Amino acid sequence: MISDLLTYVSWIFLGIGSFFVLAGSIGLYRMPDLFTRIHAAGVIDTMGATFLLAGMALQAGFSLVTAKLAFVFILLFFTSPVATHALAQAALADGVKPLSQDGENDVDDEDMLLPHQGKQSSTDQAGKSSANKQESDEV
Amino acid sequence: MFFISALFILFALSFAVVRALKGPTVFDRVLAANSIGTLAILLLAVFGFMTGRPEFLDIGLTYGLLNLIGTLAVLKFFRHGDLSYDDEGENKV
Repeated sequence: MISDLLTYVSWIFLGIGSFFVLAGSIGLYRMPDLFTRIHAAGVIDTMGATFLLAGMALQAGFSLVTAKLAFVFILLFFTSPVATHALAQAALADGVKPLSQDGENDVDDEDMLLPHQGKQSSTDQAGKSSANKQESDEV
Repeated sequence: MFFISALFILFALSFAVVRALKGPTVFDRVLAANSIGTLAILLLAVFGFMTGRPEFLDIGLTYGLLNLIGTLAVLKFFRHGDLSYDDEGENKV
């Protein structure tokens, strides 16, 4: 009876995980802006992966398979925030502006620059520095 | 139930592929590629349980590391224009 209960709970977890994966990917398709899409993709990495892996671990019991599933979870737990943060910071440094309705919540350009950038436009500095670097490489 | 989970993950993969093809900026495409990687890991795990072969989880672990390194490498390339960019001695980009 316990094994039946574990199977049913694991099915429920798999269903919830699949729902969150589908919801996150539909959000990735339909969201209006880059930063909202980053949030939708984050739903896949956190809720979808956690519930799917937990549902599979319940069916595997205490074995090597559960240890490997735990390793996959720890990997996703540490790498998906790193990738998300790097993506958002790279997008901000490149000048992608968040969507704002009717000009409310408009962010000034200086607020979005990284600390080591001056008060000038970030794309101009990036273009100048990469052009200088290419010239020095050719010499 | 594993079959239904695999179908849902395949649907999610198709949406992510459409976003990778359609995304107006390059960061949309990088985000979609990262999501495709995570969904592939989940699909590998579900498929391993469906066929009763737990070796697919090892492939998923390897691909997870490759996914992270690939995302960071593409972002570094688009930020600096050069994969061998070194930050020493430069205070401003």
